[in-house]
Amino acid sequence: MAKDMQEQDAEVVARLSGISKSFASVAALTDVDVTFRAGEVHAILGENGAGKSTLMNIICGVLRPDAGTIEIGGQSLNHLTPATAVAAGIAISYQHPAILDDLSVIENLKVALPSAVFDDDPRGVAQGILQSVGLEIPLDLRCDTLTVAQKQLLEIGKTLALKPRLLILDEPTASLDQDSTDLLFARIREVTAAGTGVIYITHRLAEIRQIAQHVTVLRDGKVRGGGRVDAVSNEDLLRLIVGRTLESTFPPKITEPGAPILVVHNLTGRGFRNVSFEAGRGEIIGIAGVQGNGQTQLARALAGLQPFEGDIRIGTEAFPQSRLLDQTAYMPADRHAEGLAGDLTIRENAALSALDRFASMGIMNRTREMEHVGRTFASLAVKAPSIEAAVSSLSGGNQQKVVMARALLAEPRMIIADEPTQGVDVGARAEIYRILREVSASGTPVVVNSSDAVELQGLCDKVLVLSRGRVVEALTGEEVREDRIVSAAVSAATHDDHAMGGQGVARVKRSGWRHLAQLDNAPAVPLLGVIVLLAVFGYSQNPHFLSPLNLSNILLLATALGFVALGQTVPLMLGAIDLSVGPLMGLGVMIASFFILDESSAGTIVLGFVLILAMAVVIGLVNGFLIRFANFTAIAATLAMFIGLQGVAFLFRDAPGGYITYPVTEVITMKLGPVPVAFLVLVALAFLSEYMLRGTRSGIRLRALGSSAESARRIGVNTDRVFIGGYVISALFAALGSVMLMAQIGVGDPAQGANYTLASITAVVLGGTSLKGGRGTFLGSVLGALLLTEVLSLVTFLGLSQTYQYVFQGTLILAAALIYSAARGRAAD
Amino acid sequence: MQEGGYFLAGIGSRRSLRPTRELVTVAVSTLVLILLCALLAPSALTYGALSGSLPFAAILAIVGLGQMLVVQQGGFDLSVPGGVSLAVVIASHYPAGDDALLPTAVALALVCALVAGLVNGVLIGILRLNAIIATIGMNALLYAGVFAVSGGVPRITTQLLASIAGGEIFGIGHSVLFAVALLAVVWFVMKHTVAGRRFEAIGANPLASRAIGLPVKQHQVMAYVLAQVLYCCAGLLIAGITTQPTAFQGDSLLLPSVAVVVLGGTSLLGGRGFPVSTVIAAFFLTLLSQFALSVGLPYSAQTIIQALALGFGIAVYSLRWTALKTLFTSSREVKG
Amino acid sequence: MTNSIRKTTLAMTAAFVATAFAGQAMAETPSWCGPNQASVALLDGFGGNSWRQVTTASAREEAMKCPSVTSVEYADGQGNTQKAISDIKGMAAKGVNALVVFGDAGPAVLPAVTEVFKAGTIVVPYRVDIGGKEGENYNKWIGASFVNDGENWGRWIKEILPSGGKILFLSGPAGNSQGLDELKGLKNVLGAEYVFVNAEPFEVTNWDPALTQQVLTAAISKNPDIDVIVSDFGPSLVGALPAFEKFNVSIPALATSDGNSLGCFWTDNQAKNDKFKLFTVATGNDNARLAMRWAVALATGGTRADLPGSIYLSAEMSAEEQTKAINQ
Repeated sequence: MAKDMQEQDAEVVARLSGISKSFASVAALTDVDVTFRAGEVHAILGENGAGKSTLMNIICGVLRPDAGTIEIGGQSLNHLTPATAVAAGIAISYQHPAILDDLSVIENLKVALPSAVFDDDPRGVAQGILQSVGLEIPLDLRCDTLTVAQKQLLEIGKTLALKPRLLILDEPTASLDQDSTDLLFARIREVTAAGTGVIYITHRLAEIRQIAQHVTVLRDGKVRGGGRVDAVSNEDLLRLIVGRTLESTFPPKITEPGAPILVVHNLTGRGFRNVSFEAGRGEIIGIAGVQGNGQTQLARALAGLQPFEGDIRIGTEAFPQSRLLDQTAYMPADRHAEGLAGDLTIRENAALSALDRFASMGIMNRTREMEHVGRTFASLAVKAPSIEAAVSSLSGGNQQKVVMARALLAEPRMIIADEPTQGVDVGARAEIYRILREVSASGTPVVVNSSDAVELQGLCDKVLVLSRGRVVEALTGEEVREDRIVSAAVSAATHDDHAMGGQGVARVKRSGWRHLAQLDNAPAVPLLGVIVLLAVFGYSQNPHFLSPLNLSNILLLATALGFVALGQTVPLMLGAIDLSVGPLMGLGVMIASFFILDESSAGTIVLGFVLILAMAVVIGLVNGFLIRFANFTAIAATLAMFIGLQGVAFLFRDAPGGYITYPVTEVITMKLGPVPVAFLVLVALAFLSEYMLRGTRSGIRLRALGSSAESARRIGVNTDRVFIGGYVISALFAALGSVMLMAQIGVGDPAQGANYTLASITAVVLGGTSLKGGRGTFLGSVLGALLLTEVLSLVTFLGLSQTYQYVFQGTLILAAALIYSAARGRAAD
Repeated sequence: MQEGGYFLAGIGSRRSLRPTRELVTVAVSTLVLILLCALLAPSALTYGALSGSLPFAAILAIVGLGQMLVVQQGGFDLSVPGGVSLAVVIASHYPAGDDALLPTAVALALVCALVAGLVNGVLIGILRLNAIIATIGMNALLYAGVFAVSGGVPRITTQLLASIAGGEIFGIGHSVLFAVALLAVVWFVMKHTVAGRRFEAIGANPLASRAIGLPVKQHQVMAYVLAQVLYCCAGLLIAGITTQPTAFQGDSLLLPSVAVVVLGGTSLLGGRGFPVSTVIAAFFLTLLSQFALSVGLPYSAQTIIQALALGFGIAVYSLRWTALKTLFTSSREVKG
Repeated sequence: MTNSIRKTTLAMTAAFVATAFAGQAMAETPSWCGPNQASVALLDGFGGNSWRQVTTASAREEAMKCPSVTSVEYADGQGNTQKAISDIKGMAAKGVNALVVFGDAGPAVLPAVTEVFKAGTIVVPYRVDIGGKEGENYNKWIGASFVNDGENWGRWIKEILPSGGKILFLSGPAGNSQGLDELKGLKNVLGAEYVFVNAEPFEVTNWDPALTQQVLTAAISKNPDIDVIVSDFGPSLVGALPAFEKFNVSIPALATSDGNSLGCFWTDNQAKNDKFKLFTVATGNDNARLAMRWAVALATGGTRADLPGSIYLSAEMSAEEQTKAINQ
């Protein structure tokens, strides 16, 4: 009674009424009504494809429903966007955490959470967030070293820190061990006690009993039932979950399995362990389980795509990994990433694995190819306008048939199909099932991994249910039923016993120096060492090498390169490149040669500098827009810009002219002792940029975008703006470089500047910024520029021939690239 | 729009002869340019002018084919200048005018190209270095070779090489024939052999190719090796054609080599290559500068026109504009 | 025509004589060589052709005539202005007393030259006009012969084509000052009846034989009746001239700089080409020698009295030869 009262009184956080949503005429949700209340955990239960994620995305404002109303905090919101959802106090922790690998733990928190969260003690607050989910990891640890479980905890910590009114947790415990799960549940109880409403999405019945007060079951996009958890039995819930309408017809199963032709014994690998099974001739093996329990890894191991220990025999022969890779056919779950080459034609994709069979002496026989491909397509009933059409133009079902045709054409010893009917229409499904059955009947073992229990029931003769990487049930014959499969998958209460990750415990200890070696700025130390070493060597050969005069020469030349390199660091950190910086510098000097002359008034001179900066901004914007909105690759866009700017420079003047006035040059090259002031400015700017990059939100956003565009978008980074902004910054630094260049050459010469493009890239890479994006160091770039200039001077000083100079340069670049790549590679292990 | 007309129903017809969109694009652009030349600069189309400019189009085409192979694997080769220049100086310095030593010189140049390509390939395909960085470094090393061989000084080519590279059959320069032959080889290997088909598929989707067990790394390494061999061929031709080549003859080929690949329709992200379009694009670019020279445009305008042509070329492919209409507009804008 | 044969032969012998002369001079200390020990350096902006190598060798040889010269250094800017600037500053910092600078990049190296000059290093730029003033930006500039070269070419053109004609002028990179000066010289001498068929101010060849070939064919196809080609890098024409055969016209007259391959080519082809006349200026490996003398004299404290200061006498031998050529 009291409980009922409480429920009646509890404030409604969100109410969804009559929500419907279709994707391309397929209904994902139909007329869904749910009410979420403050202070209670509301579990949403359902199989894959039941409509859970669609529902969550609608609550978060990511998707707009076709019909129905959403009411949040008593207000009806027709146009819910991610921003308004956040403003309304809704926070979601995704099953695949939006944690950026290249950022540290604290940076991941800073970039994803509003600054108000941190008050004036960011580290203290961050530490508190980690504690709230039981993570004991250094705040400055880079996230690429975290386990999946740790990332999951961090993701949950992020959402908790928002102190939301409605908290959505999407399968939060999928990768957690028992301790972490207990801690998480304690935390959930705390926040609900404080009045937060929690939506808890899961597959595990046991968890619902532990944590939830209310449950709603979805099936085929409709609410099938629910109520108070203590009022429904597990059997009731299971009944609600299963019973999906059979959409496809399945071919008859075999009645008498033949002798075993596939024997897997004690298979252990990343994500699964001790898997053993046998398949008789004609039997189709299914792999089932809640997503993320090792099924995919097992399927990949069977296809030879991932290493394993244990035995796999087909017929009487042993198949080690390389032979599996060679002689089995794998139909991947993600057809776009791993299945098809979208640019190639249907025929080319299909024939790819069997080219040898259509060729004599390595030369393709077109007729034979056409004949075989045509025949296979006919037997698969592939519907395509032409076999020369791009494979990307096909529907999902027909794409999958192309993948299947390729598998069949290869005449494999075994077929592993990973989610074979994902994104495939009903008609095509039946055909795919029929073909798999035919293949199996012909004596080729077929293994199907599917998250669709109905499919497994209809198709397979034997189903292995995995949980936490282990086989928890092996169902055969009449046992292969949807309810048995689902029940085995969702009832397995075992939590990670450290079998999967090895270090499931949310704790990381690291020795200090390894931590240091992985910092973005770490290359600065050896780089500085090389610079000093070369300086000492130069000095030993000729003491004048370190004379104030030569020092200031080197520093001044390094300053021009240093500025461009600072700029170039930004696009490289975004995983892009800016080839246009060199000619941009030249163009800057050209502008100066019209405005910064002896006869120019102070106003004109100032105007000249303003114009240089304005020109840089425009060029940066054009580069950014071409790449972001006109779909140019970074290389193509900035290459066209490179050539164009050179032409424009010659448009201004076709011969050197316009001497830059000396007083301006004098100011630019002013020195403090042997050190040019400009160099000090460069170093100061590098430190400032470092601070901006690591200490400010925009800097972290920039790195987030370079690290993973997808995750950056999910945590709310405006990717277009950050990207284009990056190109503007690059151009502005190049403009500063052009100021140095103007003092260096003193005249408007249209042919100057272009050299700086490659030099800047070289300097940045020497400095330790990776061209993969996400990580970079401005300090390193400055040191890289300094090193290049030093080498240039050293070669002159030693009177070395050009041969040595080039050998020196080439070796330096390759050695640095190899060392950094090795260091980064090891860190990623 | 142009796609529809070629569409044929049924399987097994000779649809492989259907020109690709990329080929149509670049061919139509070239035709438009020829038309413009005929109207505004007829002298650029005379036999003499063509026989003078075609050898250089041929060289650009060969270098472009090399760059195309690398780009197909999602790479980018900045070691073009070094590769070409090294072949040039080996061919002109080693024989030092003695025809008998020419075969040895050619063999030597090819060995150098193979080694350079192999190192590039291993660094990029196997050690996974970024292509830009690795080839910048390799270019420096190749130039070290150029200086070691030549000291930076050109030497006069042997008579034999000059007659091989610069001779004519039926009024067609040997270099053009070489380019056509190399094109035929690249085209045949790419489109009609097992290795070529795998090569394209690996470029288009390395992950998928790995999933079906193709030797991805080996093909990526091969791209760099074959590219260097093609640069080497181009270098040998330059050495023959120009009589007294400089030691830096490859420098001016880097940007055009990328431009013809892009204009030819090969995506800088990798995948399918368009050898025929690339070669036509080389002719297009060469004719474009001949056109500009004949009209008497200043250097600045020539350069800007090239940038615009490149920009529009990329736009045609990137924006996936399909209508020919657009193509014509872009050509007109190029002219302006 | 006979005229031009003699000129070529003379130009070629001039080189031999100069070398022989230099050999004899080794024995005694020349007056421009002073008693103070000094090191000198030759700085090239772009050293990548044979002409530069010869020039460098002659300048080095010239410096070695003076026992007070302790070392002769060389650096090549490789056509990269930043490298050239770094070389200039680096040599000065290294303590080299005198620099002879071939400033290919033109005025772009002036600030660097000025800086080391002001820091007390002796700087003698030559050949390329880098702007600035003697005594203010550098010690002495040896050159300005480009206008002179242009005038020489112009006078010869007037001689062979008294009633005017079509001229094609080829030079190096866009906007290079050498080409612009030569054009000035040409225009000083030639009137309006001489028509330049190239784009203003000259066709850009980057002194690249390959590009020269392309530019030349475009020009010939447009104007098959070119009367004379003026080019400031003769050897780069050798690969290009056979193009005229394809147009079935004679190779026109050439006014250019010297180079052995070009001389040989002329000898081989002049019979077949009735209009093919050759005039070359021995564009100064000798002004490298002269610049070196100035540098050494200033650095070692030698007498400068016998150093020819005027432009016309800037070459040891070819000045008279040029004068002779002009007068004949």
